[in-house]
Amino acid sequence: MGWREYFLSAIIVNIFQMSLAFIIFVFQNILPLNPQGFPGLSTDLAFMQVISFATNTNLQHYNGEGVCTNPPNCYPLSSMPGLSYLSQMTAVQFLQFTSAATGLCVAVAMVRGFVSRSQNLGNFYTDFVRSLTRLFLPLCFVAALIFVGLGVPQTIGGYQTVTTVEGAAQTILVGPVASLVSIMQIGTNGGGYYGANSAYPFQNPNPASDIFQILLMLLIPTSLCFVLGQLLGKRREARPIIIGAYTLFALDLLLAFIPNYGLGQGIEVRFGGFFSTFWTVITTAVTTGSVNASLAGMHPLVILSAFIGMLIQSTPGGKGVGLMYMVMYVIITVFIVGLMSGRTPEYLGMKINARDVKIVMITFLVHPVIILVPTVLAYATGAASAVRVSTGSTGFTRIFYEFTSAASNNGSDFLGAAGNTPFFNISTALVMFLGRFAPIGLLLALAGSMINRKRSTEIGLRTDSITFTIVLVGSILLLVVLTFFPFLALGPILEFFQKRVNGF
Amino acid sequence: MTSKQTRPASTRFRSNLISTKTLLDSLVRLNPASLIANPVMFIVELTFFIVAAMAIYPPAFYPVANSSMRIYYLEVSLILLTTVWFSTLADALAETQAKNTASSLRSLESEVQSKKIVTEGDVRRIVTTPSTALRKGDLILLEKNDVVPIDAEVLEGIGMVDESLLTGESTPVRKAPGDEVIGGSRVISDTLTARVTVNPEDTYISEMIRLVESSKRPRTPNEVAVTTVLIGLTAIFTIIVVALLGLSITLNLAVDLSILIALYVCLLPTTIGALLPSIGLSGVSRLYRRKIVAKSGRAVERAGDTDVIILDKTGTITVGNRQAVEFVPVNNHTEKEVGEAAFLSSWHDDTPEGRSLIRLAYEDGFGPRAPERAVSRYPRARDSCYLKGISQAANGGDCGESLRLIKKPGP
Repeated sequence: MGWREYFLSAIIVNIFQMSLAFIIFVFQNILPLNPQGFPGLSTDLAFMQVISFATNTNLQHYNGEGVCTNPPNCYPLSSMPGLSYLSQMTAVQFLQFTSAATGLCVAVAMVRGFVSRSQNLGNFYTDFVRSLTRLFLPLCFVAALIFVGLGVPQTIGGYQTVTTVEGAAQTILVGPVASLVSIMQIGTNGGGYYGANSAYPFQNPNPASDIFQILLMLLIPTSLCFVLGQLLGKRREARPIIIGAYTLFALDLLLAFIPNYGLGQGIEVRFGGFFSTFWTVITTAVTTGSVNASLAGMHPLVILSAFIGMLIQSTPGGKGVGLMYMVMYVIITVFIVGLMSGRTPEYLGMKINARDVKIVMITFLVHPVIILVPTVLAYATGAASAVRVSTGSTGFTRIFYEFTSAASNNGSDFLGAAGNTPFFNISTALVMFLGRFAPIGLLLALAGSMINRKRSTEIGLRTDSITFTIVLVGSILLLVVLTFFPFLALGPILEFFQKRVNGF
Repeated sequence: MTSKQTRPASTRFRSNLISTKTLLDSLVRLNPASLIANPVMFIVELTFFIVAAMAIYPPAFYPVANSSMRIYYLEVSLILLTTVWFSTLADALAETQAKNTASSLRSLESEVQSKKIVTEGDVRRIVTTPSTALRKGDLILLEKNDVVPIDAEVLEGIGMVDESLLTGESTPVRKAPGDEVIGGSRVISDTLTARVTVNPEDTYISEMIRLVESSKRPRTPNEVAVTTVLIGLTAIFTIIVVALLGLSITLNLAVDLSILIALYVCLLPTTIGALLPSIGLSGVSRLYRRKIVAKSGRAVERAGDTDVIILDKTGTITVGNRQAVEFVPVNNHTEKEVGEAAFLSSWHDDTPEGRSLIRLAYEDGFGPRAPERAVSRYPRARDSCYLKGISQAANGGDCGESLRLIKKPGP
């Protein structure tokens, strides 16, 4: 397939899957496997949620465990809609699988464009089915069983009401959690079964499950860097990408651990400040978006570090897309370095021409547009005050974080179910869709034009050296952090200084 | 590219670089309509107009302006204008420099005296004319030792012309009616009459002068790519500043528009944006100081990408008189075998290489004692027997001789 066909196939398959999930969400009240009797989701929430899951974002404006309309078997949380077992399994998990597979496919297709002697970008359907059957399903099957072993529930038996030692009745919110947790971490999706995500004891019962989830999150984004080297047939070329990604990750961690305490208000005490902070940095570095502690209790510097992870998107980034972004950064860096040394920039022996630079710049432009425009709109239209966030730096951080998270397909957020307003549902849905498919389409177009490009064996600028890696890391930080610095300064940085003055 | 010995151009025109004309030119270039080709500087000029308007009438910009800060706005606007002016000045300077380069290039055009044939009635007269005054269609007379003044087509006569300076072919070329002679080559025998086929302004050097002079050069690929990056960055920073403006209004941050504009201009890639148009021109000019004439900015870029230059122009940069200095045997052959084979194969080779091989073979004692007898038994092989190297007669059927002299078919 050429890049257009490949991209169109991916889009069409995704849109079809979204429509299926949409129907399931909206009509879950009349569909089977709904022992709690949850009502169907509102159309704007369902619209936002299907895009959220299909774009690997998993921003959730609902609480999965919800509130049932069927007392005695009920746990009164709020009036937020919940998801039936059918929705959790066939809509959420299904899209979590397919979105992860889509990300993987497009990344591999992009790399194929750079491989010499490749004829096309491959067949999307073949890639898609194979990545599901040969990678995600077996991995998740094993991981789910391990989670069950660690104490994560996996049942469709409905919520259990038990009598506590005190004699009171308590509803135990259980469901097919283990299978969902396995794909949400392996697929860097991040959408939890429960509203509190992995801070909820049933989704993340103990430190062992915590560490296992961290490992699963990092598994595929890291291995994809090695896959790049394998596919190119030049393992050395993967070096700057993996070293660069992990250097940025390390800088992120360093920033997050500057405050000597990490335990704030609302932090899950079972894991403590270290694991909560560590998790927050990782979940944004690989754009998973699952949380094991409330972001609201985090130190502003941890939030800043989370922002940086999401804004860079490739530290090492989400499934597939992180790798694509990294290749994009490499091309920008090659271009800058090449011009500084007075040579026509080359990557992998291919000359970088004006059209490539144009594509890369547009890709780079997507991010600021889809983050900043809706952030300003949220304030201008009063939608921000409608969700009761303050106009101060804390409130700004939350709104800015919401759109950053949506744009980078991360999914962690401050708003949670409070974001279930038509404005936030529709705006974040559009942001997520553009944040996902615009860069994919553009970078596939870039790869498409690389096919059959003349390659010189003499490589002018060595892109596998440590010097190049340092320049790569520097230019990523410069480009991304400088672009968003004014807004980070209005948000977490200002918050940091305010709290230094007023006490944390 | 071509290289010619000349006085460094820089010494000649440095004195008149900054002149009133250049300064005026730089001010004329401040006109927004002419700046639009350079998006970054155009935007900086736009911001100048905005801040200038703020200085003149602040109330129009409430709530992001303050009447008490008019002096400050004036300062900011002046700094912005200076920024733009530096850019246009750099442009004007580069162009002045390029014009100077072009005028010194003109002196490169070698004026050769040519013998123009003028027919008046039935009388043919020879008029000595500078080559620059020749027109297409003129008839010229080329005698022995004349330099061909300009590209022309031979009409009468047959003669030998030395083109080594231009084509690298060391052997003189025979020119008969209908053949082209190239300007700059030299007639070494006989007399030719030729018709001029190009006008002097279409020659190579004239074309270069035009390229150097013209400010509307085609942009090089890298220039286009850099412009794309600049536009992209400009777009990003525009979004940032507009978003900040929107936030400062909605959140009542009391940010001043002039400060946002100052931030914007600081973020913008103004340095590259300002200098990019003149970089190409100054590149060509600087190369010229090194006695290299770049035909275009693209050529400068190509030169930057070059790792190795392989020249097949022996006549152009060397005398074209290659000499054999050593026989180097390979595998288990001896130097003597090589020498003898080279001797035999070069016997009929009249080129400098061939002659020097024979000489070297004699000096090293590999030549037959009675060469005439040894070789004359083997007459020059018939065309059908041409093979590379020497074949032993024992194997050779058709051509008959016991040892044949075989020469590589000539180029």
